[in-house]
Amino acid sequence: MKLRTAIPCINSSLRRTCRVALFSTLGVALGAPAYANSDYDELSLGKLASNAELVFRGVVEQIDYATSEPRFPGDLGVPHTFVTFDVDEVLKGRVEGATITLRLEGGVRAADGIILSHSEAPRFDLGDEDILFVRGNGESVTPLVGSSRGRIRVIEGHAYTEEGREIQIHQGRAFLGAAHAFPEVRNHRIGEIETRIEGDKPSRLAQTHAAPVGQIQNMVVDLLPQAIAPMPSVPSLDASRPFEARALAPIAPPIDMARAEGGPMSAADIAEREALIANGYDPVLPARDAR
Amino acid sequence: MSSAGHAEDPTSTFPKSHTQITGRNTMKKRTLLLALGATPAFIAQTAHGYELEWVSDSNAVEWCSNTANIRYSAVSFPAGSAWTNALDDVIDIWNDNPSNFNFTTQMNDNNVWTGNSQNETWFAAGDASTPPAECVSWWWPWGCFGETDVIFYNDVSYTTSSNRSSLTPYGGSNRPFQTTAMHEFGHALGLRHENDEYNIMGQDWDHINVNDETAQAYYGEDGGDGAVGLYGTNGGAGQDVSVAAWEWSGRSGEYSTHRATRMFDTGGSHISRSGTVDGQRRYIVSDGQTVQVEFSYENNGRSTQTPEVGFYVSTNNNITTWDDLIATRTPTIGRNSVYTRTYTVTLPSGLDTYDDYWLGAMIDHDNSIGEFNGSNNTASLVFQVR
Repeated sequence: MKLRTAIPCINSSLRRTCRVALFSTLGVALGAPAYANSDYDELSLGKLASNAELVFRGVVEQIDYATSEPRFPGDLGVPHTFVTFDVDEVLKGRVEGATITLRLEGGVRAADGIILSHSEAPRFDLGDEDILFVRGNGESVTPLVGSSRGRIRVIEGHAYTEEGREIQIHQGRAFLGAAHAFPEVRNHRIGEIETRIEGDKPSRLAQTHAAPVGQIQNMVVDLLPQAIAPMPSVPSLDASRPFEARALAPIAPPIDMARAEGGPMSAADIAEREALIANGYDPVLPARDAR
Repeated sequence: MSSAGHAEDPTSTFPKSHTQITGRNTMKKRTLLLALGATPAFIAQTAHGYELEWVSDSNAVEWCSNTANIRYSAVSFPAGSAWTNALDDVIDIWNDNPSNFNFTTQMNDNNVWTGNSQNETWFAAGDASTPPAECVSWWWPWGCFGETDVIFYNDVSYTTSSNRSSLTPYGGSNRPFQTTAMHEFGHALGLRHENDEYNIMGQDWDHINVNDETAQAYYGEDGGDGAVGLYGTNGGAGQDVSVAAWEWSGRSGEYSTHRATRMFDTGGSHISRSGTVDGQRRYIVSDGQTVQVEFSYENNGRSTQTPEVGFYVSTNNNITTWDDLIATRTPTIGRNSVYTRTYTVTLPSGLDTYDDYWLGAMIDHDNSIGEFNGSNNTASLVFQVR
């Protein structure tokens, strides 16, 4: 029996405010980050876009929970979350209608109240605004390219990762900058349960170097091939219809790459290495005379 | 580079960054936050710590017992395979943690899937939508785990090799399987991602200890501290200190990012480099130069220690007590922060020019601490005299 909980969208006014900010915010130079610094990692928007079947910007307007069909007698099924987005703009692919519902494994199972969560998966809440790189809706455990990597949060008109790290643009390339501990990032609702990831961090940095979302959108579009073959529309899923959980069947491990050997060693170096290995890799070796 | 950030601690004693709390202390974060709110001036000195997921003011998501049995897939982790042995090592290292929590293991599970009330681990087929690995957790609304499964995806170029030359942080082409497994089983224990310090629940592949050609994963100070925060301190000996040539460099969302530690001149400027050796950058120094050398010192064990750190110069990347001791320091380190610090040492005169040497730090080089793991006690940087 399918068990379902629906949560209506309650903050449409916030969404409108957010959208106004989205289109009015200009990129303000607040000091130039050091892009050559290893602290700044490049984000491959092109790779995300090319692997996606659908790229769109939208706002979470509804969240439903439903449980997959039993896999065996007595099974209560696997809880899934159906996240419905009000689609504002499609950058790649096609969507039927003004909304699309994505299905993610995880959520609350109404039959017994147990919660399923994936350590590397995104968490969506009502009113979240995002650019999403969708792949495998209805087939993948998390239907985004690279799981949470396929989500760009839009907060106050600027672009951030799932975890609240700034997405910056410099000389036509996207980089990841400082992290902000936004409430949107740290506080979540799963069914009736409110959770928070708590730490001793600042709640919100006073300034941001994150790119306005319009720049990110333009960059994604520019990175796509000039001529894209017509693509089928990505299905929107219905939480009220029966579905099966994706089986993550065990497989043999990948081929382990052989290690390369080091360069030539002197007799003394070889003796020292042998002594280290004989000592269980404890570097405090017996005196040479005691060997 | 400002010299202020690299000044040697004149007391040779690492300051504690926040109050250490022992025992079952799921209120640690809350206590700390209140303290920060009351004393803003303390913020700059306050370091950081593990992250937990809270479902109420007093309940984090955790095991409501002190053990969890992990069942290995017979297909993915057959008994005796290199993958199984590597995973066993990871579990064994986690079980050295100073808390009351332990994993037990069971081989040859022929029926693994999520939602069967068994904690299992296996490889699954990866694709563009899957992360490299993940922990799938089932938990009750009051915060108790019912099941945790760790799944590795096979589209990642993992290796079980512990040889540094194979590993991405040292210029190799493979991701170390053991650091990823260490991270995922940290989730299985109840830890969330952490980005405030050098730690295994951040970017895992460069949270690693290396001596000679051998690299090993470890849970580190913050992993041990988080385990104690959830499950309390065990009553055994449980002591371990370590040193690594990696440090915190920033945040990537929930993850800390790490970089190699560095060598500075006495003015605090990063010394010039030329090329790499065994995946590490080679510093260029003058004969007999006085330098500041930076490493991350950690207490992964049960109680505060005052180990003696020996600084050695070696003709190879294998740092042992057979090498030339040039200086010692005696810091005090607790299980409350990662202590990335620089110490001033003077390199010996008369070293051969254009030959590679290694400046290594060996913590507890006099073997005064009864550690459960002495193999993570060295780290080194490469240099040449020109």
